[in-house]
Amino acid sequence: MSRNLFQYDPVIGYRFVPGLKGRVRHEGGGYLVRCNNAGFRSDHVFRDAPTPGKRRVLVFGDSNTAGDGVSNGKRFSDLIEAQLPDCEVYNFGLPSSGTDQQYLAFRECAGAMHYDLLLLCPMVDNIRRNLQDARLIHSGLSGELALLPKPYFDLAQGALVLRNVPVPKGHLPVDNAQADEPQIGSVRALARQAMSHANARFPGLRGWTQWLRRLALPAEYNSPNTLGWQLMRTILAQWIAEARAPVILAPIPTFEHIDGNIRAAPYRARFAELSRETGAALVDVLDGLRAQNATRPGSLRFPTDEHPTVAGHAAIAELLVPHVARALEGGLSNPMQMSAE
Amino acid sequence: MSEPVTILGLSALYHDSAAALVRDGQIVAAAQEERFSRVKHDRRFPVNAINYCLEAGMVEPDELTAVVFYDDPVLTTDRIVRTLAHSGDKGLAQWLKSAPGLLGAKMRVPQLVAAELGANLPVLFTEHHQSHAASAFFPSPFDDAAILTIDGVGEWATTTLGHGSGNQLQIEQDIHFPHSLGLLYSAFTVFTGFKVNSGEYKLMGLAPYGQPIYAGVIRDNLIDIRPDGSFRLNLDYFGYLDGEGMTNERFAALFGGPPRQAESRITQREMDMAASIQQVTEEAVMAMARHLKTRTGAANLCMAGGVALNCVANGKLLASGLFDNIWVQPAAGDAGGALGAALLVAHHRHDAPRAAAAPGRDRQQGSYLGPELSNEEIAAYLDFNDYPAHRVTDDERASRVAAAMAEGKVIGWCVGRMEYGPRALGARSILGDPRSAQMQSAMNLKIKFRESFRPFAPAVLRDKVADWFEMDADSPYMLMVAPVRPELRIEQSFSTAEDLRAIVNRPRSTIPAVTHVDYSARVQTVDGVDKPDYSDLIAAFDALTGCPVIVNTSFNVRGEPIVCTVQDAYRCFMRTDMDVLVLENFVLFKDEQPAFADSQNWRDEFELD
Repeated sequence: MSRNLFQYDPVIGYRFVPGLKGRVRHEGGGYLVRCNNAGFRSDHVFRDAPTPGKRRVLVFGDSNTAGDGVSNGKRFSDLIEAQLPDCEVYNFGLPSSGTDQQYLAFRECAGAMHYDLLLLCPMVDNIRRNLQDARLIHSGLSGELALLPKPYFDLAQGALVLRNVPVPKGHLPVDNAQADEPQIGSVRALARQAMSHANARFPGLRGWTQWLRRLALPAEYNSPNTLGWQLMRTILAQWIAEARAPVILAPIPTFEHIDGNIRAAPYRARFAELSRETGAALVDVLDGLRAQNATRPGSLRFPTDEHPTVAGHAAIAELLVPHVARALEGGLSNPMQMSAE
Repeated sequence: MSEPVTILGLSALYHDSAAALVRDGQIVAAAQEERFSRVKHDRRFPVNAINYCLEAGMVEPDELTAVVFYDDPVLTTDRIVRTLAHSGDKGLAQWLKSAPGLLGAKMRVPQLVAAELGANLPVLFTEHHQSHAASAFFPSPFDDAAILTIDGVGEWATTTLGHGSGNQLQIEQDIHFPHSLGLLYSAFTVFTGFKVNSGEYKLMGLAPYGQPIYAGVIRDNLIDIRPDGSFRLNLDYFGYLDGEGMTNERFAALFGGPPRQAESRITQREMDMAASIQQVTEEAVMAMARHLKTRTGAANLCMAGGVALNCVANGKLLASGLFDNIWVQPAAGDAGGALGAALLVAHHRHDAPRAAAAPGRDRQQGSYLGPELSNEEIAAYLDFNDYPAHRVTDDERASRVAAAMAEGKVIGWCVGRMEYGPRALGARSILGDPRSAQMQSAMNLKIKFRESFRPFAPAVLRDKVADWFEMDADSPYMLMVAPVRPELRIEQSFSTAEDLRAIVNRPRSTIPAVTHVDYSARVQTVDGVDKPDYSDLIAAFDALTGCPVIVNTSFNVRGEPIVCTVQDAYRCFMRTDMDVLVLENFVLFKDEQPAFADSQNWRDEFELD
């Protein structure tokens, strides 16, 4: 049935409804969603104390990590766990979230938790979400477009200042101008607005809106000094600094990057800089995904939906497993960029 | 350990689309598409019901053993083509109406399944009445039973007589189109101004207001019922073969004039026609049942097909004592075909054993086979929208709601798994006090937004049913009609010249809201096994008032499918004059709710039924 998957959270904005068991219709044939009592899409009950005989990995990210489009057991986080018998992977993925919300989820829900490794998997595109105080979403049951308020950070003399918390409840009308709109540039704002309206009125034109979206793809990675990157860098740096265990930073590229339609060099450069700066290990999965995509063209993503298929998740898992295994064995003492090919 | 046999059954593209999931012969889930799509009697491919069934079973498409469609499109096409050939040019209109459905989606069921589930699964087809028969027998409490299915039409069959034993059933006799008891009843439904597939129930409810003065006319001109229960229609009076309507001018002439226009005043003619066709239908059903009893010698009878929803006929059949026990599939219409088809494949093709059943209990699980809401989901919805609510324990819920009912409050009750089938059975129900003389009128006008001549159904504790009704049997699915006990009646008479509304509003018993003009009631017996929350509520009401009976009607407004989700329930609650809404362990009071922003024209959302 069409269920509301999310509940309001005053700090993170939302999380999954605790204990929810649902199924979502999808172009890939539909997928099963199981959530734990903490409100995350995981088959594990999240415990603060260590689990005897298990090393624990916490994974954070957006819908690519949460696994939109595939059932729980077929996500890269679950596949990593299946391939590393001594390891348990807690999936904190939150669809449609920015890095800001993912960091807040870590602070709110994993602060007292034991873990042996943090696996941060921001979608490259998330950089823009950090600049927004509301996200355009398809409302749970009606499917109508709505703006959902979210928390965000401002930078004040280089420090993060949390805004919009407690997050306002309810939806905002889609036509509401967003407070941060000027920050993301008028051309991209217009492109996004056009895309939203086109998607709302003509769902079949998604291909066209994706093309249009390409015009609006992040320019924030082009320089280390853009507001978008400054914000993302600061969030991730603070997160890594707070971590009580090794951190792997594994940015998930968009399929436009994988298909080679847009340049990946800027984002790769920024994350490499961040890795050097923070000491977090960087696992760059782009080349590996490109190689797999070349072998099996079109198999890694759904035809319309931009999320990874079961094969896509398997590919990501395959690329991450050796690095996670090495990290858990203590092999991250000399962090450096690791190309996952 | 062998893989479980998991079968997904589908009914679609005719009347009420539905899906059902059966695992190793045990029913896991079943639901009608209309509940999700919010389109009454939705006939489209049941994508949402399929999604729900797989959700309930937490089943991946590739774990399905097979998908089965509830009828055979090739045989149906054969019937349509032959009928066209027989009717010549006059049948063209019917053909043009039927062809898109037949040659369109129905011929592409495997492709529709593959597109929806992203997997190439074995797709099987049963026959329409086999599906009905399976839906009647396999979930029943009986190891051995006669089976009677009666509806409008499947492929060719309109009526079948069969026998079930263990995990097998056989269809032994059938009656073919165009001779159909269901279509005969539907013809009268349309002629009296109601809609096919939803108005039959209204026609049945209208019957007690009339006299069966046309029964002889019907027997003499329209249907020939033979001693063995078989029958033939005189097609000279019907339009469904070669015209655009169910009846023709000869039919109208037989009943003294043109059909009643929908929504116009109901006259004595319609009431008498209703009483007449009801009587003839009961005679036909009784004759078939008698023949079936002779043929099979079975002590038990199972029924399905749309005509099996005629609870008045069912009640008389039960009262006749012809069979020791009668069990009627609560989703007796086409929606139930999804379940029947799935069970048939599980038992016949895969030899799955029938599900275990406690002595005297059926395998339908109270028909509570649909989705349920978790308290967490409800809390999330209420919190996000800032709707005030009181969280209560199960015991507190029963006592608080019973007290509110005793004060005359009307309750929206959304607790447990949703019902499969057309009737609300206490999972998605509107409830009230049956002792109130105003309750029927208030519920009709302020909540259901209809002026109905039909009383509401009583839900009564099983162990007290005999104290209030002339009946001492299980009727958990509201498919049996029984009279209110004589000592509870208020004697009255009415003349045929009286206005229907005046008759309706006159109290007829100490539980007037559930007593029909002929003192009959559509009884639902409730016990604590399948639906303890509901049983507890009625028991609490009984403790408070000395009355173990409550009013139960479906949780919707006229033309709207019964509510399914928390949003549906809250919206319906706020749009109507209900006083209290119960969502699992949350109780909401209308006077505490904020103003509800809604379209002024929300009633236009639903086509009147």
